[in-house]
Amino acid sequence: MELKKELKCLGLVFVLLAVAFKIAFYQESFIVVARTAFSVMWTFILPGFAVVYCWKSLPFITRAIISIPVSAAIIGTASYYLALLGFNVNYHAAVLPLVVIMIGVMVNWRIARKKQGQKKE
Amino acid sequence: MLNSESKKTILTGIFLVFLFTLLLYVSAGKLLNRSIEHSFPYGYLASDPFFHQTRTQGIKDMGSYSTQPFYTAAGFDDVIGAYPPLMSHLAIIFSGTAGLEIYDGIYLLVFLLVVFSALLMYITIEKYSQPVAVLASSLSVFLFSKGLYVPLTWGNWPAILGSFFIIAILWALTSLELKNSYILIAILFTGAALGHTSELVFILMAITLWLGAELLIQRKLLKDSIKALFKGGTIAVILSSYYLLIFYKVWVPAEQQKLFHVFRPEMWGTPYFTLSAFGWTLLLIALGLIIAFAPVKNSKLTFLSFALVILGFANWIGMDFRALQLRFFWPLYLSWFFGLGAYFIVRLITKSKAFLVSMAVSAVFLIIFASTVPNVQTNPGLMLSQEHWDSFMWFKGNTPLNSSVLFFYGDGYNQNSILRNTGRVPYQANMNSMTKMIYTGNVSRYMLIKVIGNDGTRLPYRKGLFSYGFHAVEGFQEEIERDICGFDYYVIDTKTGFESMLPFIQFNLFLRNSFLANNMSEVYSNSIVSILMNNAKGGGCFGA
Repeated sequence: MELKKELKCLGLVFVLLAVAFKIAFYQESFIVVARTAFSVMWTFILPGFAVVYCWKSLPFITRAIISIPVSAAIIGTASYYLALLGFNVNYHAAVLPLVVIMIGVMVNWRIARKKQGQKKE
Repeated sequence: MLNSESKKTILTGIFLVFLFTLLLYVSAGKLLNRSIEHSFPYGYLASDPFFHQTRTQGIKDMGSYSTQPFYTAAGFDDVIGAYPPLMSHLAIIFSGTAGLEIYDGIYLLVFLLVVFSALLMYITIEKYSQPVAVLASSLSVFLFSKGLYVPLTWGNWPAILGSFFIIAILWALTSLELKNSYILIAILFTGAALGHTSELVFILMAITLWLGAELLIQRKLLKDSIKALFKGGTIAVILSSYYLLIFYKVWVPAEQQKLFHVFRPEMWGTPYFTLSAFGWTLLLIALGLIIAFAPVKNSKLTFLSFALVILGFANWIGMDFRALQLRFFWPLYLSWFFGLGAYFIVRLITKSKAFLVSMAVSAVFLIIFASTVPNVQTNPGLMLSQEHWDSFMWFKGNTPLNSSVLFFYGDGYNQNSILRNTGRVPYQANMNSMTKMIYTGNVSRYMLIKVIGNDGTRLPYRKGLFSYGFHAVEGFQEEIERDICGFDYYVIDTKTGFESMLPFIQFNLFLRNSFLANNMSEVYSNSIVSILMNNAKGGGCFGA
């Protein structure tokens, strides 16, 4: 239930980003604006958000904003090293944010399960 | 029915959306002509933006930053990627997802980093007081004031990324009470180390000043904070060790020479920022400083913000122009004090509706300050025209990778990182040599010609696992007398936008005619640029 609410809020963030971009770049086509807003979400918000979800006690707005530098640091660093190891940087846009999101979700799921187990005990 | 807390959250959300939109509107929106996509790099006003753009494009083309793209490294293909890598990698991923060209994506990204920093500062101050945070936010428009707009258009981009991480670390430092906060410290320190390492040095200095001040003034030894910082810092060192080693071997020796030298701001070839630019807001900042320090309140944010402002003067004690780069974000470091001062005034007017009034006052401030954001002249052609861009792109698709390209005079070519866009090793004829030839009428086959690509890292290459050599100090000759006829391609501009440069265009046309009559053929042309191919490299090329 809580997760559903958070996802709705993230959806709202995407819409607001798109609106802000459209206002600032009003000569730009809707499709470019939408793609750019999606890129901000995909590169700078969602990966970090999945990581900082661990600190659920923080308000949603705080988590959404702090997820930006967290995403930037994780995605940028991982991209640098993976490329050095031979994984071409041109594939990172599709793969890297997804992997970080999945790792974040898995870690949070394990934390939640551990907490539930502790409650039952 | 919404409770007052929910109403506050909604109002905060609306305010932050307003702040984000306004900052984007007055900065990138204005400069980039209200468009995200452009047909060539738009609004680039110096050499350095092209320096970052071409390096990033090169990394994208090569697939990694193990070595510097050869055409950005004077033709050497073993120069290690020594520049902080985070900006380029983020730009490639951001542009790739948005379907933008690198030149559009990286520029928009830099503006977004500044705007995101304003939001980060809001959540940092909000922890102490929401109305103060709201009022403080209005000062963030100064990030785009006259003295600070230049870093954006002149390409101090990695320094902006570094400052963005400083603000994020500020937030993390004020959140050390969170469980496992060292993880955040580790992530953000790593980002700063790979983003722009000098900003990591500054935040470490600010942390030292803060902990020292707590100990001396507040008589508090913050053991838990130090523990979290040590743990996070250790992880960050491990995570960034590969790049930090390169930084240590390549950048530190160069920077060390400048240590303890006084660097006067005028010595920097870039307009810099002084406190006077804040105008009347300094009164509120001064009031806020008094409130914050007498006695010290919210000591962590107060000491850290103050330290970061003071470190902006460290150019006088040997921190070179890096200290002047730290000033880019003074509006954010000072905003805590501005917010305190403004809130004090608001509280004199009303106590019961202080939050709402703060929001209204901040909105008014934002609009007033936004009207002072300069109109930067960015008409196409100021630095680069569509015709120039098309000629650069022609090289990429039509010439062998190892081609050498000689540029004679062209508008904007003096900002020579532009020339790297050919994707081939660019050479540039020396202006003084050309001037001499024009005014003496004595055109010789040999003239001073510079190979473009020695960017200050001294072209480092790996000799062993931990040892490096430097091409720039091992016999590499950047600008020497070279044979005009010894190049594969020639870029000759046939028009100029400046009347005073007409003699150079006439000289270009003279060379073009001579070249065409002696073993060269035109392979590309448009209304401004003519590209010639040398069919007898090293042979005769203008009858001399």
